[in-house]
Amino acid sequence: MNIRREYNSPNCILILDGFGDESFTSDDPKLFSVVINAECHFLLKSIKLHGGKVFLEKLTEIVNNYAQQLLSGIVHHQANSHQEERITIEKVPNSQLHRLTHYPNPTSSQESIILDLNILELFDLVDTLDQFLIDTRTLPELSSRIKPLSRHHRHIEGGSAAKRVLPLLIGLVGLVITGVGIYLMPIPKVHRPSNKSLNHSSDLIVPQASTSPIR
Amino acid sequence: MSTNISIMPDKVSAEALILNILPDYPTCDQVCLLHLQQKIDLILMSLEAVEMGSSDFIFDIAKHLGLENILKNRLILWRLRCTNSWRRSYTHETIKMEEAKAFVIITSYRAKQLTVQIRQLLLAHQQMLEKNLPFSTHYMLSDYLDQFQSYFRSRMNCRRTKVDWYLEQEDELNNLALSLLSQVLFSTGTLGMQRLWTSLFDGAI
Repeated sequence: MNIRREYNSPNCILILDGFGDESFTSDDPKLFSVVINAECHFLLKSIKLHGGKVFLEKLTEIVNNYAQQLLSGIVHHQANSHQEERITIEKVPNSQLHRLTHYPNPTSSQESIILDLNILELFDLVDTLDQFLIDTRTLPELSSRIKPLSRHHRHIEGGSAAKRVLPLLIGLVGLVITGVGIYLMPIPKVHRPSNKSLNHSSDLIVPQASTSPIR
Repeated sequence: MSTNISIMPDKVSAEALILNILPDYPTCDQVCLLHLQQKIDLILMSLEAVEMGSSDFIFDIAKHLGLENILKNRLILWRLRCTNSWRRSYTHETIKMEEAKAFVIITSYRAKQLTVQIRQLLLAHQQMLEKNLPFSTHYMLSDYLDQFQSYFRSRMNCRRTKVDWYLEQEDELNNLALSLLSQVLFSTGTLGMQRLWTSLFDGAI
């Protein structure tokens, strides 16, 4: 039996077409277990992204990770295989837009679709997909996967080990160069005061012989 | 006496029930805690700037959701918010996980009520960028940014390098205010509360 499910937000509509599970006839609403076609419409842009199950899985995963990246500021790496269709999202440099690109399967004749989304359109996409993910009657195997990244990712974000050690090395090299420079500098000569200047009687106040010492 | 005995367990269980909406994460080191405390305070400050008013909404929602045992009065609220290391009156205290959860739940709840205003502000920001106009030409946006700046200047410690950097560069402070506003928007979504909470532990587990 064909089933259609729709999820809406102000700028985005997700339409899923597929089949229900016939073994649970009394259930209401029916369990949507097989997706045939998934369409994601962007209302202000009059553009839609579409595909099958792989497309839907990729879209939910990539959009989920990107939303968490925006919230935490820590990069969630987008795992994509070159052999199958790919979806990427990245920030457009020097702008407040987010570029969503759908690369279809290399064997198909479809062309890549590029969409520049503002923050509201991106949020609506995230929210539409979240509505789908919490719906336990539609593809229950695709549930929400909001998880924090491990510490390992924070360290990666901080740069490679070589990159992190670089400032320390620069500091040490600077210290060594300064040390060598100081070592090579000539020792300043000490000019002892000459006897002539010491014997210059006019500059000295000689105490008189009659002065008795203070007791 | 008997009434008290019968009400207290209900209150506690209701509080536990609402806090259990958010998952517990096993470990949170000092860096993570500092970040969490700072982020919660800044996000609340962004919401206050949208409200253009006081932080009374925190108590109203806490009471409505049965979280008044965690946020009992203004002094406790102030003490908890002063766990943000950028604050002038930084207390060096550590926020408890249940208190952090309560703040995230309240933020998300209030943000949902203010969805229209938040969307209007972000739309205005987008339009000003597209038309290449200064933010001050949009009354709502400039009010929000002025209010945020005013809170930031009056509450944060200018001896902190990062705070001083923001205070020196107005554009960067505006960017911070707008970035926090978009994070507040994401907390209004269907899974917004979980998204905001989980993001606080990114790179810390």
